[in-house]
Amino acid sequence: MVRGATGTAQEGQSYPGRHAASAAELAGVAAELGAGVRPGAVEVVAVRSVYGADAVVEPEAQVRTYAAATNAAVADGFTGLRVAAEITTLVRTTAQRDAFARYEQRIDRFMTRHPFSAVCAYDREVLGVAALAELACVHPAASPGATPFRFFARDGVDAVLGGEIDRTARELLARTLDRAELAPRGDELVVDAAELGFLDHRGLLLLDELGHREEAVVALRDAPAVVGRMAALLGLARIRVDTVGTTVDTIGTTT
Amino acid sequence: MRAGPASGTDRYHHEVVLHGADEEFLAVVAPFVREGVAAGEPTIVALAEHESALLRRALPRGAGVSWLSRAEQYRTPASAIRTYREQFAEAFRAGVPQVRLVGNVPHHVAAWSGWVRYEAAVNQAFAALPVWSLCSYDTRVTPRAIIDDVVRTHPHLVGPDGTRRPNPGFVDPEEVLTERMRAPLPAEPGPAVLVLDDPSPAAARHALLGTAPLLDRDELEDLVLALSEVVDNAWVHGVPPVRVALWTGERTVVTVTDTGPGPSDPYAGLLPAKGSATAGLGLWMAHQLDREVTLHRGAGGFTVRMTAGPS
Repeated sequence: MVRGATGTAQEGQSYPGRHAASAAELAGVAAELGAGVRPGAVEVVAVRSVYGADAVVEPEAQVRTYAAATNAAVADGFTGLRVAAEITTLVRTTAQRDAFARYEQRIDRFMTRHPFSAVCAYDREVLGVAALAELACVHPAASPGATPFRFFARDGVDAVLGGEIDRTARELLARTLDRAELAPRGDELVVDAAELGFLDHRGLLLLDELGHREEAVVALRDAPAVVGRMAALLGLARIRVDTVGTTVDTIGTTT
Repeated sequence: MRAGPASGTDRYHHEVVLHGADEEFLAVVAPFVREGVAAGEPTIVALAEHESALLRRALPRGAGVSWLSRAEQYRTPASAIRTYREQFAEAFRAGVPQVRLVGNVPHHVAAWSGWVRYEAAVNQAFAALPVWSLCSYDTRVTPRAIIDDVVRTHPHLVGPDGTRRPNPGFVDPEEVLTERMRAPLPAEPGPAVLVLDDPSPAAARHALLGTAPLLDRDELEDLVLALSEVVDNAWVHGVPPVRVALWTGERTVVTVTDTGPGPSDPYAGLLPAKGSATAGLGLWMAHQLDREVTLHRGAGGFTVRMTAGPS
Protein backbone atom coordinates (compact mmCIF):
# COMPACT_ATOMS: atom_id res chain seq x y z
CA MET A 1 0.00 0.00 0.00
CA VAL A 2 1.23 3.49 -0.65
CA ARG A 3 0.49 5.71 2.31
CA GLY A 4 -0.20 9.37 1.76
CA ALA A 5 0.43 12.16 4.22
CA THR A 6 -3.01 11.71 5.74
CA GLY A 7 -2.55 8.02 6.14
CA THR A 8 -5.12 7.12 3.54
CA ALA A 9 -4.49 4.18 1.36
CA GLN A 10 -4.39 4.64 -2.36
CA GLU A 11 -3.55 2.22 -5.06
CA GLY A 12 -0.54 3.19 -7.13
CA GLN A 13 0.44 2.43 -10.66
CA SER A 14 3.72 3.21 -12.31
CA TYR A 15 4.52 3.21 -15.98
CA PRO A 16 8.21 3.44 -16.77
CA GLY A 17 8.41 4.36 -20.41
CA ARG A 18 11.77 5.71 -21.46
CA HIS A 19 12.73 2.41 -22.97
CA ALA A 20 10.71 -0.69 -23.64
CA ALA A 21 11.04 -2.45 -20.30
CA SER A 22 11.05 -6.20 -20.16
CA ALA A 23 8.52 -8.12 -18.09
CA ALA A 24 11.32 -9.01 -15.66
CA GLU A 25 12.33 -5.40 -15.24
CA LEU A 26 8.76 -4.38 -14.52
CA ALA A 27 8.38 -7.14 -11.97
CA GLY A 28 11.60 -5.95 -10.32
CA VAL A 29 10.34 -2.38 -10.03
CA ALA A 30 7.01 -3.60 -8.66
CA ALA A 31 8.75 -5.71 -6.01
CA GLU A 32 10.90 -2.76 -4.97
CA LEU A 33 8.00 -0.29 -4.72
CA GLY A 34 5.58 -2.81 -3.27
CA ALA A 35 7.84 -4.09 -0.50
CA GLY A 36 5.97 -4.11 2.79
CA VAL A 37 2.64 -2.85 1.51
CA ARG A 38 -0.64 -4.56 0.84
CA PRO A 39 -0.49 -6.86 -2.18
CA GLY A 40 -2.02 -5.15 -5.20
CA ALA A 41 -1.35 -1.68 -3.84
CA VAL A 42 1.43 -1.03 -6.32
CA GLU A 43 1.16 -2.12 -9.88
CA VAL A 44 3.84 -1.51 -12.48
CA VAL A 45 2.91 -1.77 -16.13
CA ALA A 46 4.52 -0.88 -19.43
CA VAL A 47 3.29 2.27 -21.13
CA ARG A 48 2.59 0.30 -24.30
CA SER A 49 0.20 -1.99 -22.43
CA VAL A 50 -1.87 0.97 -21.24
CA TYR A 51 -1.78 3.20 -24.28
CA GLY A 52 -0.26 1.03 -27.02
CA ALA A 53 3.25 1.52 -28.40
CA ASP A 54 3.82 4.98 -29.94
CA ALA A 55 0.06 5.44 -29.73
CA VAL A 56 -1.97 8.51 -30.46
CA VAL A 57 -4.22 8.53 -27.42
CA GLU A 58 -7.95 8.84 -27.73
CA PRO A 59 -8.68 11.45 -25.08
CA GLU A 60 -12.21 10.39 -24.21
CA ALA A 61 -11.42 6.64 -24.18
CA GLN A 62 -8.32 7.13 -22.05
CA VAL A 63 -10.28 9.08 -19.46
CA ARG A 64 -12.81 6.22 -19.36
CA THR A 65 -9.98 3.73 -18.80
CA TYR A 66 -8.71 5.62 -15.76
CA ALA A 67 -12.23 6.20 -14.50
CA ALA A 68 -12.80 2.44 -14.54
CA ALA A 69 -9.43 1.82 -12.85
CA THR A 70 -10.27 4.38 -10.18
CA ASN A 71 -13.64 2.76 -9.55
CA ALA A 72 -11.99 -0.67 -9.35
CA ALA A 73 -9.44 0.61 -6.82
CA VAL A 74 -12.20 2.12 -4.69
CA ALA A 75 -14.19 -1.13 -4.96
CA ASP A 76 -11.08 -2.98 -3.71
CA GLY A 77 -11.10 -0.85 -0.59
CA PHE A 78 -8.54 1.79 -1.61
CA THR A 79 -9.32 5.47 -1.17
CA GLY A 80 -8.28 6.26 -4.70
CA LEU A 81 -5.80 5.76 -7.48
CA ARG A 82 -2.51 7.46 -8.12
CA VAL A 83 -0.52 7.17 -11.31
CA ALA A 84 3.06 8.10 -11.93
CA ALA A 85 3.87 7.82 -15.61
CA GLU A 86 6.83 8.47 -17.85
CA ILE A 87 5.14 8.99 -21.19
CA THR A 88 7.63 10.64 -23.49
CA THR A 89 6.99 8.02 -26.17
CA LEU A 90 3.37 9.15 -26.36
CA VAL A 91 4.10 12.75 -27.24
CA ARG A 92 6.95 12.65 -29.70
CA THR A 93 5.08 13.61 -32.85
CA THR A 94 2.85 16.64 -33.36
CA ALA A 95 -0.23 14.47 -33.83
CA GLN A 96 0.55 12.50 -30.67
CA ARG A 97 1.15 15.66 -28.69
CA ASP A 98 -2.04 17.28 -29.91
CA ALA A 99 -4.12 14.29 -28.85
CA PHE A 100 -2.28 13.87 -25.58
CA ALA A 101 -2.58 17.53 -24.62
CA ARG A 102 -6.35 17.29 -25.24
CA TYR A 103 -6.39 14.19 -23.06
CA GLU A 104 -4.32 15.93 -20.36
CA GLN A 105 -6.93 18.66 -20.04
CA ARG A 106 -9.78 16.14 -19.88
CA ILE A 107 -8.12 13.98 -17.26
CA ASP A 108 -7.20 17.12 -15.32
CA ARG A 109 -10.91 18.01 -15.11
CA PHE A 110 -11.70 14.42 -14.16
CA MET A 111 -9.20 14.63 -11.29
CA THR A 112 -10.93 17.63 -9.74
CA ARG A 113 -14.00 15.48 -9.14
CA HIS A 114 -12.62 11.98 -8.52
CA PRO A 115 -10.10 10.31 -6.20
CA PHE A 116 -7.52 10.08 -8.93
CA SER A 117 -4.23 11.90 -9.19
CA ALA A 118 -1.18 11.65 -11.38
CA VAL A 119 2.37 12.79 -11.91
CA CYS A 120 3.48 12.96 -15.52
CA ALA A 121 7.14 12.78 -16.37
CA TYR A 122 8.49 13.86 -19.75
CA ASP A 123 12.05 13.72 -20.99
CA ARG A 124 13.13 17.31 -21.60
CA GLU A 125 16.03 16.27 -23.81
CA VAL A 126 13.90 14.16 -26.11
CA LEU A 127 11.04 16.62 -26.45
CA GLY A 128 12.75 20.00 -26.43
CA VAL A 129 11.55 23.18 -24.76
CA ALA A 130 8.59 24.06 -27.01
CA ALA A 131 7.01 20.61 -27.02
CA LEU A 132 7.49 20.29 -23.30
CA ALA A 133 5.75 23.62 -22.71
CA GLU A 134 2.67 22.37 -24.60
CA LEU A 135 2.32 19.63 -22.00
CA ALA A 136 3.62 21.43 -18.94
CA CYS A 137 1.21 24.36 -19.34
CA VAL A 138 -1.89 22.24 -18.74
CA HIS A 139 -0.68 21.02 -15.33
CA PRO A 140 -1.42 22.81 -12.06
CA ALA A 141 2.27 22.54 -11.23
CA ALA A 142 5.29 22.07 -13.47
CA SER A 143 9.07 22.18 -13.30
CA PRO A 144 10.41 25.74 -12.99
CA GLY A 145 10.74 27.46 -16.36
CA ALA A 146 8.92 24.69 -18.23
CA THR A 147 6.03 26.98 -19.21
CA PRO A 148 5.29 30.72 -19.04
CA PHE A 149 1.67 30.15 -17.97
CA ARG A 150 -0.59 27.42 -16.62
CA PHE A 151 -4.11 26.59 -17.77
CA PHE A 152 -5.74 23.81 -15.79
CA ALA A 153 -8.94 22.61 -14.13
CA ARG A 154 -10.19 23.45 -10.68
CA ASP A 155 -13.42 22.51 -9.02
CA GLY A 156 -15.97 25.34 -9.10
CA VAL A 157 -14.60 27.08 -12.19
CA ASP A 158 -14.17 26.06 -15.80
CA ALA A 159 -10.44 26.68 -15.74
CA VAL A 160 -7.59 28.40 -13.98
CA LEU A 161 -5.25 30.68 -15.91
CA GLY A 162 -2.04 31.66 -14.14
CA GLY A 163 1.40 32.96 -15.01
CA GLU A 164 2.41 35.44 -17.70
CA ILE A 165 1.13 35.75 -21.24
CA ASP A 166 2.83 37.90 -23.84
CA ARG A 167 4.05 37.43 -27.40
CA THR A 168 6.29 34.51 -26.47
CA ALA A 169 3.32 32.57 -25.05
CA ARG A 170 0.70 33.57 -27.61
CA GLU A 171 0.84 30.54 -29.88
CA LEU A 172 1.01 28.23 -26.93
CA LEU A 173 -2.08 29.82 -25.41
CA ALA A 174 -3.99 29.68 -28.70
CA ARG A 175 -3.19 26.01 -29.06
CA THR A 176 -3.99 25.27 -25.44
CA LEU A 177 -7.37 27.03 -25.57
CA ASP A 178 -8.20 25.12 -28.72
CA ARG A 179 -7.26 21.82 -27.10
CA ALA A 180 -9.20 22.59 -23.94
CA GLU A 181 -12.49 21.67 -25.61
CA LEU A 182 -14.32 23.38 -22.79
CA ALA A 183 -18.03 22.81 -22.90
CA PRO A 184 -19.63 25.78 -21.16
CA ARG A 185 -22.47 24.70 -18.90
CA GLY A 186 -24.34 27.92 -19.46
CA ASP A 187 -23.53 31.05 -21.37
CA GLU A 188 -20.43 31.64 -19.30
CA LEU A 189 -16.92 30.22 -19.04
CA VAL A 190 -15.54 31.07 -15.64
CA VAL A 191 -11.76 31.38 -15.56
CA ASP A 192 -10.03 31.90 -12.25
CA ALA A 193 -7.44 34.58 -13.04
CA ALA A 194 -6.25 35.29 -9.50
CA GLU A 195 -2.81 33.88 -10.32
CA LEU A 196 -2.53 35.73 -13.61
CA GLY A 197 0.63 37.82 -13.38
CA PHE A 198 0.46 39.43 -16.80
CA LEU A 199 -1.72 39.37 -19.90
CA ASP A 200 -1.09 41.47 -22.99
CA HIS A 201 -3.81 42.65 -25.37
CA ARG A 202 -3.26 39.86 -27.86
CA GLY A 203 -3.61 37.29 -25.11
CA LEU A 204 -6.89 38.90 -24.11
CA LEU A 205 -8.03 38.82 -27.75
CA LEU A 206 -7.40 35.06 -27.75
CA LEU A 207 -9.71 34.67 -24.76
CA ASP A 208 -12.31 36.78 -26.54
CA GLU A 209 -12.01 34.47 -29.57
CA LEU A 210 -12.52 31.51 -27.25
CA GLY A 211 -15.75 33.14 -26.06
CA HIS A 212 -16.93 33.60 -29.65
CA ARG A 213 -16.08 29.99 -30.48
CA GLU A 214 -17.89 28.61 -27.45
CA GLU A 215 -20.72 31.14 -27.70
CA ALA A 216 -20.10 32.11 -24.11
CA VAL A 217 -18.81 35.05 -22.14
CA VAL A 218 -15.37 34.38 -20.69
CA ALA A 219 -15.56 35.65 -17.12
CA LEU A 220 -12.08 36.38 -15.78
CA ARG A 221 -12.48 36.12 -12.02
CA ASP A 222 -10.18 38.05 -9.67
CA ALA A 223 -8.09 39.29 -12.58
CA PRO A 224 -5.64 42.19 -12.15
CA ALA A 225 -7.51 45.49 -12.53
CA VAL A 226 -5.50 46.45 -15.61
CA VAL A 227 -7.06 43.51 -17.48
CA GLY A 228 -10.46 45.09 -16.86
CA ARG A 229 -9.25 48.44 -18.16
CA MET A 230 -7.80 46.78 -21.24
CA ALA A 231 -11.03 44.85 -21.92
CA ALA A 232 -13.07 48.05 -21.61
CA LEU A 233 -10.74 49.85 -24.04
CA LEU A 234 -10.95 47.09 -26.59
CA GLY A 235 -14.73 46.74 -26.19
CA LEU A 236 -14.60 42.96 -26.22
CA ALA A 237 -18.08 41.45 -26.35
CA ARG A 238 -17.08 38.05 -25.03
CA ILE A 239 -14.99 39.11 -22.06
CA ARG A 240 -16.13 40.07 -18.60
CA VAL A 241 -13.56 40.97 -15.99
CA ASP A 242 -14.38 40.58 -12.33
CA THR A 243 -11.51 42.21 -10.49
CA VAL A 244 -11.39 41.89 -6.74
CA GLY A 245 -14.44 43.69 -5.40
CA THR A 246 -15.64 45.14 -8.71
CA THR A 247 -17.15 44.05 -11.96
CA VAL A 248 -16.08 45.67 -15.18
CA ASP A 249 -18.64 44.68 -17.77
CA THR A 250 -17.56 45.46 -21.30
CA ILE A 251 -20.67 44.17 -23.00
CA GLY A 252 -22.28 46.93 -24.97
CA THR A 253 -19.25 49.21 -24.84
CA THR A 254 -18.86 51.17 -28.03
CA THR A 255 -15.54 52.00 -29.55
CA MET B 1 -31.03 70.32 -40.71
CA ARG B 2 -27.57 71.15 -39.41
CA ALA B 3 -27.20 74.76 -38.23
CA GLY B 4 -24.10 76.95 -38.46
CA PRO B 5 -21.15 77.35 -40.80
CA ALA B 6 -20.97 73.64 -41.74
CA SER B 7 -24.63 73.54 -42.72
CA GLY B 8 -25.09 71.45 -45.85
CA THR B 9 -22.09 69.21 -45.14
CA ASP B 10 -21.66 66.18 -42.91
CA ARG B 11 -18.04 66.91 -42.07
CA TYR B 12 -16.31 67.94 -38.87
CA HIS B 13 -16.04 71.69 -38.32
CA HIS B 14 -13.11 72.53 -36.02
CA GLU B 15 -12.67 76.15 -35.01
CA VAL B 16 -10.83 78.14 -32.38
CA VAL B 17 -11.35 81.45 -30.63
CA LEU B 18 -8.28 83.20 -29.23
CA HIS B 19 -9.57 85.61 -26.65
CA GLY B 20 -7.91 88.06 -24.31
CA ALA B 21 -10.76 88.84 -21.91
CA ASP B 22 -13.61 87.07 -20.14
CA GLU B 23 -16.12 89.24 -22.04
CA GLU B 24 -14.62 88.15 -25.36
CA PHE B 25 -14.81 84.52 -24.30
CA LEU B 26 -18.47 84.87 -23.34
CA ALA B 27 -19.38 86.88 -26.44
CA VAL B 28 -18.35 83.94 -28.62
CA VAL B 29 -18.96 80.86 -26.50
CA ALA B 30 -22.27 81.68 -24.81
CA PRO B 31 -24.26 82.21 -28.06
CA PHE B 32 -22.64 79.09 -29.53
CA VAL B 33 -23.97 77.03 -26.61
CA ARG B 34 -27.36 78.80 -26.37
CA GLU B 35 -28.07 78.38 -30.07
CA GLY B 36 -27.05 74.73 -29.95
CA VAL B 37 -29.42 74.01 -27.11
CA ALA B 38 -32.21 76.01 -28.81
CA ALA B 39 -31.72 73.97 -32.00
CA GLY B 40 -31.97 70.72 -30.03
CA GLU B 41 -28.37 69.78 -30.77
CA PRO B 42 -26.49 67.90 -28.05
CA THR B 43 -24.00 70.41 -26.67
CA ILE B 44 -20.96 69.25 -24.74
CA VAL B 45 -18.79 71.53 -22.62
CA ALA B 46 -15.37 70.57 -21.21
CA LEU B 47 -13.69 73.72 -19.95
CA ALA B 48 -11.25 74.79 -17.28
CA GLU B 49 -12.80 75.84 -13.99
CA HIS B 50 -12.68 79.58 -14.60
CA GLU B 51 -14.27 79.45 -18.06
CA SER B 52 -16.78 76.86 -16.88
CA ALA B 53 -17.97 79.15 -14.08
CA LEU B 54 -18.23 82.13 -16.44
CA LEU B 55 -20.31 80.16 -18.90
CA ARG B 56 -22.61 78.66 -16.27
CA ARG B 57 -23.47 82.13 -15.03
CA ALA B 58 -24.25 83.28 -18.57
CA LEU B 59 -26.65 80.43 -19.31
CA PRO B 60 -30.16 79.86 -18.00
CA ARG B 61 -30.49 77.12 -15.39
CA GLY B 62 -31.15 73.64 -16.72
CA ALA B 63 -30.08 74.67 -20.20
CA GLY B 64 -29.57 71.03 -21.26
CA VAL B 65 -25.82 71.26 -21.65
CA SER B 66 -23.57 68.22 -20.99
CA TRP B 67 -20.89 69.49 -18.64
CA LEU B 68 -17.88 67.19 -18.61
CA SER B 69 -15.13 67.14 -16.04
CA ARG B 70 -12.16 68.55 -17.90
CA ALA B 71 -9.69 66.52 -15.82
CA GLU B 72 -11.47 63.29 -16.70
CA GLN B 73 -12.29 64.10 -20.29
CA TYR B 74 -8.75 65.22 -21.07
CA ARG B 75 -6.97 62.51 -19.08
CA THR B 76 -4.80 61.65 -22.07
CA PRO B 77 -4.99 62.91 -25.66
CA ALA B 78 -5.81 59.47 -27.05
CA SER B 79 -8.45 58.77 -24.39
CA ALA B 80 -10.10 62.14 -25.13
CA ILE B 81 -10.40 61.16 -28.80
CA ARG B 82 -11.86 57.78 -27.88
CA THR B 83 -14.41 59.02 -25.36
CA TYR B 84 -15.56 61.88 -27.61
CA ARG B 85 -16.06 59.41 -30.44
CA GLU B 86 -18.16 57.23 -28.13
CA GLN B 87 -20.30 60.18 -27.10
CA PHE B 88 -20.74 61.38 -30.67
CA ALA B 89 -21.69 57.89 -31.82
CA GLU B 90 -24.34 57.71 -29.13
CA ALA B 91 -25.77 61.09 -30.09
CA PHE B 92 -25.88 60.28 -33.80
CA ARG B 93 -27.58 56.97 -33.12
CA ALA B 94 -30.39 59.07 -31.65
CA GLY B 95 -30.60 60.82 -35.02
CA VAL B 96 -29.45 64.36 -34.21
CA PRO B 97 -28.16 66.43 -37.15
CA GLN B 98 -25.20 67.91 -35.29
CA VAL B 99 -23.28 67.77 -32.01
CA ARG B 100 -21.63 70.89 -30.58
CA LEU B 101 -18.56 70.85 -28.42
CA VAL B 102 -16.79 73.56 -26.47
CA GLY B 103 -13.47 72.59 -24.98
CA ASN B 104 -10.08 73.73 -23.91
CA VAL B 105 -7.42 71.08 -23.57
CA PRO B 106 -4.86 71.25 -20.75
CA HIS B 107 -2.01 73.33 -22.05
CA HIS B 108 0.71 73.48 -19.48
CA VAL B 109 4.00 73.33 -21.31
CA ALA B 110 5.22 69.91 -20.09
CA ALA B 111 2.28 68.00 -21.55
CA TRP B 112 1.69 70.18 -24.59
CA SER B 113 3.53 67.83 -26.90
CA GLY B 114 0.65 65.37 -26.44
CA TRP B 115 -2.09 67.97 -26.77
CA VAL B 116 -0.83 69.50 -29.98
CA ARG B 117 -0.96 66.00 -31.42
CA TYR B 118 -4.55 65.81 -30.18
CA GLU B 119 -5.50 69.13 -31.81
CA ALA B 120 -3.99 67.95 -35.10
CA ALA B 121 -5.39 64.41 -34.95
CA VAL B 122 -9.02 65.31 -34.20
CA ASN B 123 -9.23 66.82 -37.70
CA GLN B 124 -8.86 63.26 -38.97
CA ALA B 125 -10.48 61.39 -36.06
CA PHE B 126 -13.77 63.31 -36.29
CA ALA B 127 -13.53 64.12 -40.02
CA ALA B 128 -16.60 62.18 -41.09
CA LEU B 129 -18.84 63.35 -38.23
CA PRO B 130 -21.20 66.36 -38.29
CA VAL B 131 -19.60 67.80 -35.17
CA TRP B 132 -19.06 71.52 -34.69
CA SER B 133 -16.38 72.14 -32.09
CA LEU B 134 -15.21 75.44 -30.71
CA CYS B 135 -11.88 75.42 -28.86
CA SER B 136 -11.02 78.39 -26.70
CA TYR B 137 -7.58 79.61 -25.69
CA ASP B 138 -6.91 82.56 -23.43
CA THR B 139 -4.04 84.56 -24.91
CA ARG B 140 -3.39 86.18 -21.53
CA VAL B 141 -2.17 82.90 -20.01
CA THR B 142 -1.18 80.74 -22.99
CA PRO B 143 2.49 80.81 -24.07
CA ARG B 144 3.16 82.17 -27.54
CA ALA B 145 4.61 78.89 -28.86
CA ILE B 146 1.42 77.09 -27.89
CA ILE B 147 -0.74 79.73 -29.59
CA ASP B 148 1.34 79.19 -32.74
CA ASP B 149 0.59 75.45 -32.61
CA VAL B 150 -3.10 76.16 -31.99
CA VAL B 151 -3.28 78.30 -35.11
CA ARG B 152 -1.61 75.55 -37.16
CA THR B 153 -4.09 72.89 -36.06
CA HIS B 154 -7.48 74.64 -36.41
CA PRO B 155 -8.89 75.03 -39.93
CA HIS B 156 -11.35 77.75 -38.85
CA LEU B 157 -10.92 80.91 -36.78
CA VAL B 158 -13.48 82.85 -34.77
CA GLY B 159 -12.64 86.45 -33.91
CA PRO B 160 -13.40 87.86 -30.45
CA ASP B 161 -16.23 89.76 -32.15
CA GLY B 162 -17.75 86.51 -33.38
CA THR B 163 -16.71 86.75 -37.04
CA ARG B 164 -15.88 83.37 -38.58
CA ARG B 165 -13.36 82.74 -41.34
CA PRO B 166 -11.18 79.97 -42.77
CA ASN B 167 -7.71 79.91 -41.24
CA PRO B 168 -4.92 80.55 -43.78
CA GLY B 169 -2.37 79.36 -41.19
CA PHE B 170 -3.85 75.84 -40.95
CA VAL B 171 -1.29 73.09 -41.65
CA ASP B 172 -1.98 69.54 -42.81
CA PRO B 173 -2.36 67.50 -39.59
CA GLU B 174 -0.08 64.76 -40.88
CA GLU B 175 2.68 67.34 -41.31
CA VAL B 176 2.20 68.60 -37.76
CA LEU B 177 2.26 65.07 -36.37
CA THR B 178 5.33 64.05 -38.37
CA GLU B 179 7.10 67.22 -37.30
CA ARG B 180 6.27 66.48 -33.65
CA MET B 181 7.86 63.08 -34.00
CA ARG B 182 11.11 64.80 -35.01
CA ALA B 183 11.23 66.71 -31.72
CA PRO B 184 14.25 65.62 -29.66
CA LEU B 185 13.82 63.51 -26.54
CA PRO B 186 13.60 65.68 -23.44
CA ALA B 187 16.64 65.56 -21.19
CA GLU B 188 16.12 63.39 -18.12
CA PRO B 189 17.14 64.67 -14.69
CA GLY B 190 20.06 62.24 -14.40
CA PRO B 191 21.51 59.02 -15.73
CA ALA B 192 19.16 56.06 -16.24
CA VAL B 193 18.97 53.72 -13.25
CA LEU B 194 18.75 50.79 -15.61
CA VAL B 195 19.56 50.12 -19.26
CA LEU B 196 18.54 46.85 -20.89
CA ASP B 197 19.90 45.73 -24.23
CA ASP B 198 17.60 43.60 -26.36
CA PRO B 199 15.24 42.61 -23.53
CA SER B 200 12.24 40.39 -24.09
CA PRO B 201 8.93 41.97 -23.07
CA ALA B 202 9.05 39.83 -19.90
CA ALA B 203 12.59 40.92 -19.04
CA ALA B 204 11.56 44.57 -19.46
CA ARG B 205 8.48 44.10 -17.25
CA HIS B 206 10.43 42.36 -14.53
CA ALA B 207 13.16 44.99 -14.60
CA LEU B 208 10.62 47.79 -14.21
CA LEU B 209 8.91 46.01 -11.31
CA GLY B 210 12.34 45.34 -9.79
CA THR B 211 13.04 49.06 -9.44
CA ALA B 212 9.93 49.39 -7.22
CA PRO B 213 8.75 52.67 -8.77
CA LEU B 214 6.86 55.14 -6.59
CA LEU B 215 3.54 54.58 -8.31
CA ASP B 216 0.15 53.42 -7.09
CA ARG B 217 -0.92 49.95 -8.14
CA ASP B 218 -3.09 51.01 -11.08
CA GLU B 219 -0.46 53.34 -12.48
CA LEU B 220 2.20 50.68 -12.15
CA GLU B 221 0.04 48.02 -13.83
CA ASP B 222 -0.71 50.43 -16.68
CA LEU B 223 2.95 51.26 -17.15
CA VAL B 224 3.98 47.59 -17.05
CA LEU B 225 1.38 46.77 -19.72
CA ALA B 226 2.40 49.72 -21.88
CA LEU B 227 6.09 48.86 -21.60
CA SER B 228 5.46 45.24 -22.52
CA GLU B 229 3.35 46.19 -25.55
CA VAL B 230 5.89 48.76 -26.75
CA VAL B 231 8.84 46.36 -26.39
CA ASP B 232 6.79 43.76 -28.24
CA ASN B 233 6.18 46.34 -31.02
CA ALA B 234 9.87 47.15 -31.20
CA TRP B 235 10.66 43.50 -31.87
CA VAL B 236 7.81 42.93 -34.31
CA HIS B 237 7.77 46.22 -36.24
CA GLY B 238 11.09 47.85 -35.36
CA VAL B 239 14.71 47.08 -36.14
CA PRO B 240 17.02 45.64 -33.46
CA PRO B 241 18.98 46.34 -31.34
CA VAL B 242 16.23 47.31 -28.90
CA ARG B 243 17.18 49.30 -25.84
CA VAL B 244 15.08 50.04 -22.77
CA ALA B 245 16.13 52.76 -20.31
CA LEU B 246 14.52 53.56 -17.00
CA TRP B 247 14.53 56.55 -14.68
CA THR B 248 12.93 56.46 -11.26
CA GLY B 249 12.26 59.17 -8.74
CA GLU B 250 9.16 61.22 -8.16
CA ARG B 251 8.18 60.34 -11.71
CA THR B 252 9.00 57.15 -13.53
CA VAL B 253 10.21 57.45 -17.12
CA VAL B 254 10.79 54.54 -19.48
CA THR B 255 12.11 54.78 -23.02
CA VAL B 256 12.10 52.04 -25.63
CA THR B 257 14.34 52.60 -28.64
CA ASP B 258 14.87 50.54 -31.76
CA THR B 259 17.00 51.54 -34.72
CA GLY B 260 14.17 51.59 -37.25
CA PRO B 261 12.23 54.61 -38.54
CA GLY B 262 9.14 54.01 -36.38
CA PRO B 263 5.54 53.77 -37.57
CA SER B 264 4.74 55.28 -40.95
CA ASP B 265 1.23 56.19 -39.81
CA PRO B 266 1.39 59.70 -38.34
CA TYR B 267 -1.71 58.94 -36.24
CA ALA B 268 0.00 55.91 -34.63
CA GLY B 269 -0.98 55.66 -31.00
CA LEU B 270 -3.73 58.26 -31.21
CA LEU B 271 -6.19 56.28 -33.30
CA PRO B 272 -6.64 52.50 -33.05
CA ALA B 273 -5.31 50.82 -36.18
CA LYS B 274 -8.24 48.51 -36.71
CA GLY B 275 -7.68 47.94 -40.39
CA SER B 276 -4.28 46.29 -40.04
CA ALA B 277 -4.92 43.35 -37.73
CA THR B 278 -3.77 44.45 -34.32
CA ALA B 279 -0.61 46.27 -35.38
CA GLY B 280 -0.69 49.60 -33.62
CA LEU B 281 -3.21 48.52 -31.03
CA GLY B 282 -0.48 48.05 -28.42
CA LEU B 283 0.82 51.57 -28.95
CA TRP B 284 -2.73 52.93 -28.90
CA MET B 285 -3.35 51.21 -25.57
CA ALA B 286 -0.17 52.66 -24.11
CA HIS B 287 -1.50 56.09 -25.14
CA GLN B 288 -4.86 55.35 -23.51
CA LEU B 289 -3.49 54.14 -20.20
CA ASP B 290 -0.43 56.27 -19.58
CA ARG B 291 -0.71 59.95 -19.05
CA GLU B 292 2.24 60.96 -21.15
CA VAL B 293 3.45 58.98 -24.13
CA THR B 294 5.55 60.69 -26.77
CA LEU B 295 7.12 59.41 -29.98
CA HIS B 296 10.52 60.52 -31.20
CA ARG B 297 12.16 59.81 -34.52
CA GLY B 298 15.84 60.70 -34.76
CA ALA B 299 19.17 59.70 -36.22
CA GLY B 300 19.52 56.91 -33.65
CA GLY B 301 16.16 55.37 -34.46
CA PHE B 302 12.68 55.50 -33.00
CA THR B 303 11.90 56.00 -29.31
CA VAL B 304 8.69 55.73 -27.33
CA ARG B 305 8.91 57.64 -24.05
CA MET B 306 6.41 56.88 -21.31
CA THR B 307 5.99 58.77 -18.07
CA ALA B 308 3.99 57.95 -14.97
CA GLY B 309 3.62 59.54 -11.58
CA PRO B 310 2.50 62.97 -10.39
CA SER B 311 2.58 65.60 -13.13
